Amino acid sequence: MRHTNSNKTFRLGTLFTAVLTSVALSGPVAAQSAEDYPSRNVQYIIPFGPGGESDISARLQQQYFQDITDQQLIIQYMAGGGGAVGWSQLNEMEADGHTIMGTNLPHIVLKPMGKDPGFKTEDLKNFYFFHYSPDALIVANDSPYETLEDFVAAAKQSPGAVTLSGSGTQSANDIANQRFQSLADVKTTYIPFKGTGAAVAALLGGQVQAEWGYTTVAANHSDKVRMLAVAADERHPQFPDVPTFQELGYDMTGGAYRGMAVPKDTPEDVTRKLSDIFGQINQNAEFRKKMQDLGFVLIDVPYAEVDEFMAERREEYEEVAREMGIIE
Amino acid sequence: METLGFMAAAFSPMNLLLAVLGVAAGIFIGALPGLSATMAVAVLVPVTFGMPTEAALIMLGAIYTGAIYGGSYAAILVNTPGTPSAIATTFDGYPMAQRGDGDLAVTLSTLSSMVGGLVGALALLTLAPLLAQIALKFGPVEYFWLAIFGLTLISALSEGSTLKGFIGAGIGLLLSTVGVAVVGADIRYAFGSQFLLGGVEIISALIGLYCIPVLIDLVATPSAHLEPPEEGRGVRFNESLGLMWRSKFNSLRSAVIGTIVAILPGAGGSIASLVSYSEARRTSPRHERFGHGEPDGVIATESANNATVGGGFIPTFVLGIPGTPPDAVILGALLVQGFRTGPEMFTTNANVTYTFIGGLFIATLLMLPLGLLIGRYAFKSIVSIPKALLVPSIAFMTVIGTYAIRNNPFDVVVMVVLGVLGWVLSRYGIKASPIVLGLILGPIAEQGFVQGYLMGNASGSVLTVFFGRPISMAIIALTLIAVFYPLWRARRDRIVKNSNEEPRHEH
Amino acid sequence: MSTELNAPRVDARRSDRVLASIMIVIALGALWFSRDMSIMASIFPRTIATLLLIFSVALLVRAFIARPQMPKPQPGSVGRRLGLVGVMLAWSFSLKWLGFIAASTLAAVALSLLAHYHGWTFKRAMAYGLVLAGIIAFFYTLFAILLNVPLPVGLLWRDL
Repeated sequence: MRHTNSNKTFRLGTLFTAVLTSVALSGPVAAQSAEDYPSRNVQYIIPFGPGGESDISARLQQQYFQDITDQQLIIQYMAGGGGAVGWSQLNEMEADGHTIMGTNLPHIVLKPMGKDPGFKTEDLKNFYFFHYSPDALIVANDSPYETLEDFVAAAKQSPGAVTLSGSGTQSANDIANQRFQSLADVKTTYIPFKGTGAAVAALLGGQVQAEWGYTTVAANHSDKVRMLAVAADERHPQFPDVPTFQELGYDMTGGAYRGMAVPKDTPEDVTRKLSDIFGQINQNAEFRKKMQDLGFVLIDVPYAEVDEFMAERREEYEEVAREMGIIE
Repeated sequence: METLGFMAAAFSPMNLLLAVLGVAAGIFIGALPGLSATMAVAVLVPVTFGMPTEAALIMLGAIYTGAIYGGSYAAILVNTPGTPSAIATTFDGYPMAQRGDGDLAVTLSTLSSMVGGLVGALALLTLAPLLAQIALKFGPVEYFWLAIFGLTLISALSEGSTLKGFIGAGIGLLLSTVGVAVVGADIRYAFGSQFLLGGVEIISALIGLYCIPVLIDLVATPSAHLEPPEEGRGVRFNESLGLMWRSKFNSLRSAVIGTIVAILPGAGGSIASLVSYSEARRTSPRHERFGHGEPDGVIATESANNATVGGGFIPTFVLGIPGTPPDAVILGALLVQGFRTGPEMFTTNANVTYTFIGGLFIATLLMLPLGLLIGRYAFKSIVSIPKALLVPSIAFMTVIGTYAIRNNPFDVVVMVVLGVLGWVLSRYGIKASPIVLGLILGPIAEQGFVQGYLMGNASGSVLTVFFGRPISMAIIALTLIAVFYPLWRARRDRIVKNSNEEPRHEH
Repeated sequence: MSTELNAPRVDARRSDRVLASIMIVIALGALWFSRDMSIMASIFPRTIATLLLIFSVALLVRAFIARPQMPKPQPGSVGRRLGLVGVMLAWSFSLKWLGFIAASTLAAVALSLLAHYHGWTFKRAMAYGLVLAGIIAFFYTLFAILLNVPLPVGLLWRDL
């Protein structure tokens, strides 16, 4: 009795399975062409947790994506391993242009240099880099260091005694510290924290004397901190009084670059279309103003120029990685 | 007076409606294991772009408040803490539900959450700038000692064998090191698997360790999941009020502890309720009943975890440093809307801030009617669902909830494997709580230690850094008290017992 | 999960010896696998592994010299327990391949059969099937459509 009836339930189950899977399959399988792209909402996966800079800049793009395409940009988070969990799974995702993922430099170059993080830099099909947060040397408002010179003098006087907080090891902040140490010929102690928030808290609480952060950090905490120098080509419009490192004689520009990538089998024409859409967002005056107010610097690296851009960055990071002993 | 005017703005009919919707949605989302307050808030952010800032903030605050409270349902009824802040609710809430007092536990949790939420919101309103300064005084070393203090809770959480409690915590601490290290960026214990890179996600581990063993034991016998309640006794509101009155000091103390611990970014939210629980247990005259369905345990944890909502907003608003993960999302939404945190929040943008705090008060008060209404049906329906439907439903929620945390199918595998391990370990006498405690405190202890060590090296004396700072010394003293007080009390009890027995011998 | 204050207790000597031995192996393994980590990254796991080793040895010693006890474990059907573990593992591993809906439907049916202790009638099977389908449909709508969670579609179906 029981046997036959449980068989019935099983048949019932397979019926449901058949019906439900056919429903699930009917939608997205149809072939994509660039003309009708995007034909539905686009998933934008951020390989970090919510609330960080990658999230905030994506949220700003979100508003304008809909104006241009009439489709929504839906932001998802896939945090873990400093981005590695997301990037290592990107190429398994649906490659029709309706799934894109945020990518970050230097992370995607540096991580694969050490142990295998599950992805290779060249496996990521980046299609646009849209902004960067320039590195900045930040101190609290009441710090005795008024200029970069004061800071260098203090670091020279007692090597290793000046402490700096920053977010993570082998991150943009760590690299900035490494490069500055060799450019200025000083030795400092870099203390990695989990995330920019914790690094700022350490600075504000007087646990460390300075912080390697970004212009965005200074913009967010403008009432409590000031920057000694910014690693951008020119002074940031938000902070016209803060000199660049280059002005002060240190050849240092860079920071955390953010872009977007698609799974590697995504059709070329769709990828180009995506690049165009995000290029258009980058030209929107309102978007530019909001990004600038938050301390970001906009850049335009469309799909056609990504390879060249990546090669330049790669060369730069390899040099630092050698100094840090990540690679031989 | 101006402040009150801004707060009154929260009472407009539209805002009230948003608050009701927010709290109800929050309770529902929080009650599902894995669907966290963070996710609820993150999904809502794009919706709020089109709203006036005040309305958006009220809605986000209401969802958050409701979700933290809603977490107690899953904790009480199916022994699954949906968020780390609800762990301690399972200790006494689930035993209460098992013996048929689930309705009482839910009502108590509603009342306590309301008390906690009000205390937290009041602190945010009146003491925010002061408390934020305290949060900044906590450096790496203080976090390290705080984690060590947290580990002393093991002896309170592992009934029976403290030795096994320590072994359990050791397992949790080792599990917390899996993945990419924050300091050093090494990949540890991933054994070449790209999936282990991201480490063990705490909420998936919670769901696995607490809920899978319940499911395993649920299918093993035909007996009911929970004892059914007696017919027609309602939600036992008066009985709960009586218990709350008896434990008014417990509730207030827990709410104050919850608020203060929650102002520490990153550490606070998850351990606030654990600290309150062990404090309630230490001071209670019924301390031996804790862990076996003592109402005071539920009161302590639920008062504390809802106080963390207001407490967590303190560093978020004053310093721009998010206190808890949902705060990080709300902070992001504020930045996108063009608001700056910091002193401006209480001067130029005071109208928005105070309307938001007003909204938090409203949301907290709304929890009472909504919570009692939902709670009335939640317990009864869980009790009356036949096992053949209950088991797949709970299992389904654990799977979809775990997946949704990071959209990662491998997290589901980790959840199930940890759950099975947790069940096996519990057969050997190791409870889930010490493992989870190790998992939560591990990263705090490790980062605090290594950062403190680097700081000490830079300043020339590691020992001064670790032992010479006033807050550290206070936490070390608390740790010593926590370790030695139970020993002292056990000895005193023995002496009292002996002196009571002696006269009887003479008779 | 004993909720009674005075639950029946059983002798734990043998189970403690087994537990302690396994934990000693785990602690040694953790030490062994920490050998190629940088100094900063290895301090913490090594300290923990050493402490775990000490506690486990202490537990082993105690299991030989004392008579430790522990609460009596809950009785019940071993087969059904193993069945649940098997279904949950299969479910979690197949999510990526079968996709969310197919894997969940199969697993829900299997769990329902495992948890059911009474006889099956056609009416009951239909009713339970409908309720389960309703639950899955409800949560699928909630997560995939309202909350925008990208639930796995199933790699198997994609290649068809």
